[in-house]
Amino acid sequence: MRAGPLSNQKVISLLNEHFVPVYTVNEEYTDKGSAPPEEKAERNRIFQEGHAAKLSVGSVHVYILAPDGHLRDSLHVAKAAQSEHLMAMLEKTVAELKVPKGKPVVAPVTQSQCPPSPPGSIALHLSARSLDGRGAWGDFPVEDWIVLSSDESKRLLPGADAVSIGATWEIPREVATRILTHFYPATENNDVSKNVFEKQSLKGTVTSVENGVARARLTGEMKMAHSFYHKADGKTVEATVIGFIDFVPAQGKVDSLKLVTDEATYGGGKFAVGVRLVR
Amino acid sequence: MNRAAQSVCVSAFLFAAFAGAADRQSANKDFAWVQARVQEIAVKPEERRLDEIGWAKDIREAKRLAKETGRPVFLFTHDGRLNIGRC
Repeated sequence: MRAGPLSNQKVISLLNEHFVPVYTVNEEYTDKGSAPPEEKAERNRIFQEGHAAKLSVGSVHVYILAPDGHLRDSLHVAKAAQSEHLMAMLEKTVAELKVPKGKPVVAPVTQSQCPPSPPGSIALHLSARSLDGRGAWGDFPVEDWIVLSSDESKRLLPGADAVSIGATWEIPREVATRILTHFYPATENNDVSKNVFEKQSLKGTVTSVENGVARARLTGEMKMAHSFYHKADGKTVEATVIGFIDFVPAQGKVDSLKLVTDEATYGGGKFAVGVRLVR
Repeated sequence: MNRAAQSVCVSAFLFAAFAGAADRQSANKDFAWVQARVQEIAVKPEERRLDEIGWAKDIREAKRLAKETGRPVFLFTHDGRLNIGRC
């Protein structure tokens, strides 16, 4: 949907000019999901109305609600993902309800936002993209936000008394894992708890110390089992990584972090990952 | 030196040369290279066109706005996270 209709100018215009668009994440609406009970109840109501009206109902669907909130139409994602089918549905709705053209009801904002992070923590933004369209989806790059706690961010660093040019240290495995487990291109499976590292290392080497700020070069490698779909398929990520971290040894504070894949492969294709500290 | 030993020596020399070349290649990738590479890989605005759509926060907000404006709601339910593309 994102690469197809939701990137189509005509669809974008139709949604902004005639509808109130909204999307929901199914995982948040399960019994244990984070959505409030009233939200879950609303989604369930829509599904019930769909069943009662013998419309297509399912977890990955487009639903059109009338201005009074009741369901009037639906489309399975397999069809909705084809722009011409979705546009036909939207245009039919606009015509039948005689919806006048207007500005977006909600001002468009970037949907990928840095999550809130407690004091002392750092937020990293990761982008991953297929380089050759092989072995992974390549319609658009994917992202992750990684928040490292104050303790985790300190553990990225060597001890303050071990900071001299040429000094090296190994970043603890569990901290490196917090970052490296997201080093995979676009796949259906995004459950990183199922990723298994067969090999992993990330080390720093201090390259300069000036005015109390140290810079270290990061180098690492990884081999990680990550299945494309939600069943084991034996596929692995193999990558070497290079980066730099700037830090204040006396305070155990990370000022800047940039990390990229040097070479990375998955499922017979090549991909790249870039990480930068945002906050 | 017999042929087998010569072969081992040549192989060892080639391996060392290769490893050295790889290290030198990696060492050439300095801060500026990493900085530029991070920018290259980062998601671009044109790759996030869904950001051009004015999305309501949730179904309840969409319903409220629909009632206020007389507009229908377009609801897309999905697995994963559309906003970051991991879906």
